[in-house]
Amino acid sequence: VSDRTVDQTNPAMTLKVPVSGDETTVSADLLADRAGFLRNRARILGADVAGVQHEVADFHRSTIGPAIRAKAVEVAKRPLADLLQELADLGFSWRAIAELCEVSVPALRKWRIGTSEPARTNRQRLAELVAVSELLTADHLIDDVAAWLEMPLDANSVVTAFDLLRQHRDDCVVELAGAHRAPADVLDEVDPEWRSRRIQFEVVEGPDGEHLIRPTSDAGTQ
Amino acid sequence: VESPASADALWLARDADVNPNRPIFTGDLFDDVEVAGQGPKGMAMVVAHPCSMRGKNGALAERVLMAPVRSYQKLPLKAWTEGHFGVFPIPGVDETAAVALDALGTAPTTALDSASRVACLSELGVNLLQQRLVMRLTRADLPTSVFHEAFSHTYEEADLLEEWCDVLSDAGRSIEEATAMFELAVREPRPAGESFQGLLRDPQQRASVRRDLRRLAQEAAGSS
Repeated sequence: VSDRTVDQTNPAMTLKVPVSGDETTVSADLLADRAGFLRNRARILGADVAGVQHEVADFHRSTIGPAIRAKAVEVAKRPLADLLQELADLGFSWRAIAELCEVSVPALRKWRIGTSEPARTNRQRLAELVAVSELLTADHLIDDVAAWLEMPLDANSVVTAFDLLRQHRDDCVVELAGAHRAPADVLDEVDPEWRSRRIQFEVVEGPDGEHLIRPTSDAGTQ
Repeated sequence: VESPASADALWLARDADVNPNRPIFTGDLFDDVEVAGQGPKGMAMVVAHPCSMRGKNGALAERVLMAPVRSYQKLPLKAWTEGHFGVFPIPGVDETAAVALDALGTAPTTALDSASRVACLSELGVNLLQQRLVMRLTRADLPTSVFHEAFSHTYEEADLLEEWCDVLSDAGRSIEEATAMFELAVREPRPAGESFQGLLRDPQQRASVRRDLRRLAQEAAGSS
């Protein structure tokens, strides 16, 4: 090997092999040895970077929940009717709001018509939904928050970002909104079996115009 | 075949919590109903699929498929997955009774008045009912998530009709008037071509449909 570059066909991919000043040729085995050394250094450096990324991600994640709860404490000071109206204006269903607040739909209806008041923890949950919605809109420019939260994270899963909120995983929702994590990565954490439960049925429009259920076209090969 | 996490998770509303403005829907439990060919009057559940209960103009069919409630052993929730596929237990309403899925028959919808409605299943409850019914009739075990994906738009529409009727009844409209106005509003093609009813089939569109229908309900109430 008389040349000191590994690849000359693509200048962007060229890798300089370290040689001493008086070397004009490098033997093949020495070249392989040095390339191996470089590769090890790159791997160690990559692991270091990944470790730092992991630590920073953990730190960021640990700050999300407290930040939302702190914002929610302020939001909860607004009148109850205003909180409910804001969520209605965003397009949330009352059923979804009730689930998040861990109360029945009739109980939530009583809040709306003013015949009962939520307990402090329920009001805090309501305020957290408002806080998350405002944060997603302001910081992550999500135009239709309710629609975004109601969409499945992956075509092969029924888990939505709203389900994550119900599981008190606001951190995952904010990470998804900020594109810090891939949906599949979040699903692996919150629903480890989701891949094996890959739906083998699909919903299509039937000849009468109504939805019908049928096996997916590749169900037989799975 | 799945089981609910709790008896409460099965129900949208029971007894006095049942909203009379809610349309008759799959999983509604009525008292004092005679199911054709299934003995004397008693408690019975609507098991008809939402799509088969109403005509194109939204009017209820003259008769709907129902199943009577009969005495049955108390079943722990975990036993739901182990058999007993011929029944749909109703814990939270009656621990020692269940909907008999082998005793189907029709009942006139005129017999289903809101005063005799004992309870309404939650969306999960409706999906579990459909899952058990399909299992019993065909031995096909479909996950509830598939029923949810296929038919959640019908539950959404029922929710929206209930909310619409709440708003308009407060403004002095009768339930019949409010229902007719709603049916007109959801079926009318929008400027973009698709009706609200059609848009509800797409989960991504539901939030905007809710916003639009809430606004229209307020406008209709304001002009009442």
